[in-house]
Amino acid sequence: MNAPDRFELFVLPPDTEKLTVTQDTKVPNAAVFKIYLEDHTLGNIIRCQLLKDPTVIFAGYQQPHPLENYILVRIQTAPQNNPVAAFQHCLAELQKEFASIYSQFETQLAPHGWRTADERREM
Amino acid sequence: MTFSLEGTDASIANALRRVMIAETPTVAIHFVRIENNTSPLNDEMLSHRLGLIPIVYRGDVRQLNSNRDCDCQGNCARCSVEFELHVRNDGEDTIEVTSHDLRALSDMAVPLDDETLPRGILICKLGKFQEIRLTAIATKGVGKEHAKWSPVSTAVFQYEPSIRLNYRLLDELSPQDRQNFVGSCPARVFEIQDGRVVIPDVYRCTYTEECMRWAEQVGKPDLVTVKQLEPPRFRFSVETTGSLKPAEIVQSCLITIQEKIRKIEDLLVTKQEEQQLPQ
Repeated sequence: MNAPDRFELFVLPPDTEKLTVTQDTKVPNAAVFKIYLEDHTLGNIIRCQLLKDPTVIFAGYQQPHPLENYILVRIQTAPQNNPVAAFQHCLAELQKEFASIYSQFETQLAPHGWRTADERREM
Repeated sequence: MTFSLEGTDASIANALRRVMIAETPTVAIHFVRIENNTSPLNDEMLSHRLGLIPIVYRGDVRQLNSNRDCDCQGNCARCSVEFELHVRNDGEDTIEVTSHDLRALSDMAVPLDDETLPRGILICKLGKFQEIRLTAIATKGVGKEHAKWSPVSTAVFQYEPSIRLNYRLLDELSPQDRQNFVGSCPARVFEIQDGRVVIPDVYRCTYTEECMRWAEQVGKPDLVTVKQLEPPRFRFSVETTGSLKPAEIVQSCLITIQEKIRKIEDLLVTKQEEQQLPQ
């Protein structure tokens, strides 16, 4: 009855930005990133990747409400770094990680008798 | 299909699993125009059943426009595939309407046709003089919006267990005790081959720790230890509904995640320029 429309999970509401950055006014080198239309899938990998960075003092994420489709990622870094740079580095590392999984997966397909998506379409 | 993933952490494995289930695009029937339905199923039930039939798209689903964002009014070949279903029972016996009766109006897609399902997927049964006539439009979507677009029936991963047996202590056991040890595991991880305890498949282990409890009771706590492998290794098992091949799903899901990360990376760069954030 009052269930939210399912398309709200991937259609950005009007007058909202996908990403907003808010600097923390009380803690030095801290910021909160509000990311719309993302959930635990991305939140958790970002958090885990940030925690591997030695210059990151704090990294956490939350989805404040299950019916509101955004996550908050909070980062506090050591003075030699800053949250935006740490976040950027983290995303680049994740990008590399998934690219490596992709290429390794692809090379494993043929020896195990699977076709890649492209090869299958050409048939 | 099963594959293992190592050298990474559970968050990555879980992201893969979540994206495979909820964010890998496929094609499924989304709009149905019913022209005549005198079958025992009502229109809504019939439409729902049509939606759940896996549709095999003969192209790259990712290249297909989303019907919501397509610049056409209504639907076009760039964002949808049309199907037609017309069955009428003029005989005396009840007949079955199956996915084989669903006819695609273009050669870009077909309802799932699998040799394990020679009769197709049952949609409805028709009695004497009953008729179904309808057209259906299949569009691209993701499992997040409706489970009919989810390409997997199961996508799960399991941590590889590390089971260490102390053979010195095992050899001290009597054959009967060894049999009792093997029997202590409800998941049947252990077997006896030529009088020796062996583990044919570690993944049978469900971490009940019954074997460790048994070892403790007989006063040999070092007999066996069960832990998660460190660093972890994950075994994925991906079973599809038939709309995509398992390898395609894994590839597509990896592309989806990379696109999501890329989008945030790009936004962060523009944000930096707008807000003059520290570099």
